[in-house]
Amino acid sequence: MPDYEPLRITARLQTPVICDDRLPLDGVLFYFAMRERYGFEVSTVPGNAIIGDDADKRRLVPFKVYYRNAAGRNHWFYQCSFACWVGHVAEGRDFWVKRFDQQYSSIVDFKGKRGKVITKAGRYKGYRMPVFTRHALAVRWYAVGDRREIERLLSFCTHLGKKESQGYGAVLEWQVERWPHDWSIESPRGLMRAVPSESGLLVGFRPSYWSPENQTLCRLPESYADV
Amino acid sequence: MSREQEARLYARVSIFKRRIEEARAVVARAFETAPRWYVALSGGKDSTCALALAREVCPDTPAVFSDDEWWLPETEEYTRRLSGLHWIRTNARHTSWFSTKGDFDGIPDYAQRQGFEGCFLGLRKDENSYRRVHLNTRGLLYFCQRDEVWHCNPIANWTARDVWAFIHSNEIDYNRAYDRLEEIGIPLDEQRIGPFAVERAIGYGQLATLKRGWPDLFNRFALAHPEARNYA
Repeated sequence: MPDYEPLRITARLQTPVICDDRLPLDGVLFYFAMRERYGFEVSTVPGNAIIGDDADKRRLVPFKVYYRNAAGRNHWFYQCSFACWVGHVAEGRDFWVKRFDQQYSSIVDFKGKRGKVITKAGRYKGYRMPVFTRHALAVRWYAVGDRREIERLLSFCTHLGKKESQGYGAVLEWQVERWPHDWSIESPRGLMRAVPSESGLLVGFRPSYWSPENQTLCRLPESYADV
Repeated sequence: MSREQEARLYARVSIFKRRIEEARAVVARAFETAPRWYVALSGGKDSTCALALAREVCPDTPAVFSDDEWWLPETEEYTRRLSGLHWIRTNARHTSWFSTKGDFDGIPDYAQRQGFEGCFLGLRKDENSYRRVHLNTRGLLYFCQRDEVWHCNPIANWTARDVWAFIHSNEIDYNRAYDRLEEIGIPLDEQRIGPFAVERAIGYGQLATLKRGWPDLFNRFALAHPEARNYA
């Protein structure tokens, strides 16, 4: 039987994180737990990703599971708050760029026919995509979970958010400490995470947050500052 | 300094006044050329200016808005506040995975059936090199052979700064989605409002901006068009 207790988890950041203000930690741990269970996937086919069954997923992440009825459906999610950003948060914008390099046009394979490299659409389409960054000295989560198992999984996590290969979201240090209060869902600040509700905004409430099956109408925190 | 403060200050400089005069002159010339005009309205700032300039001369100039099934909540509020709006649904193919079906093959088709003789557009040379070449070649007022109507681009020589100066100094109602774009840190000359997934704009992060500014709406859009997640 897992030993669940209220926790405060802190990541000290070295570089800005490409993410929205919610940055759910259960999503991060879900990734590492899935990767450990099923192995690293070199490539995936759309719609063919390993998802695992519901009962399995509930045990996969070392957070306590919370059940809630909303709009006639029984939802479950992990007892882990959304991110609480410590101190001042600097928001920024950067870009990733993809552009066809003309000097390699002679080696493009047109299957023996004459062809044209089209950069407005298709395979060689050019991109200049914005990414939105957030930077603070630290980011915190409040959760109810198995401390040892969380520490073990977090030891694999060196970066948060997107574009870690470009140096974004580097974590200097993880701290997992016992906390006297369970602030995983509500705290003196108010709501701490997305909670399924009869009305509200359509957002994810458990990992994988992008998947439509894990999205429903939810109430959301009014602030993402630390408690 | 806020966008409005900057715009009001800029509205006092002479280059802005000259550009306004030029735009008003070309609108007057357009109405002399043909009597029945409409404004192709996207809900963005540029077509808002074109509409305001046209209505200075002819207050009942209609605006035609093409419904692309998906729009920002602020765009809907803005179009509700407008009088003389023709809200139509057209066939459009924006990307390989996002197209719309409607009663007309685009706004020009609708305009032809209504018997309009001219169309005011909010194109600007400042926007991209294609528009600069096009507007330098065709001019501010020309007859479009393809659509068989006159085209008038009164704000062709304006910059984004001119547009905001005109809007704020004349107290013109505008789409409040621009306030949200400013809130999330999109610079003035990159703020764009239009259909959600246009092939040309998708590579410049149109959907990434939507996800950032309107996450709930993005999730709804991605539910209908899962491919959208590849671009955000």
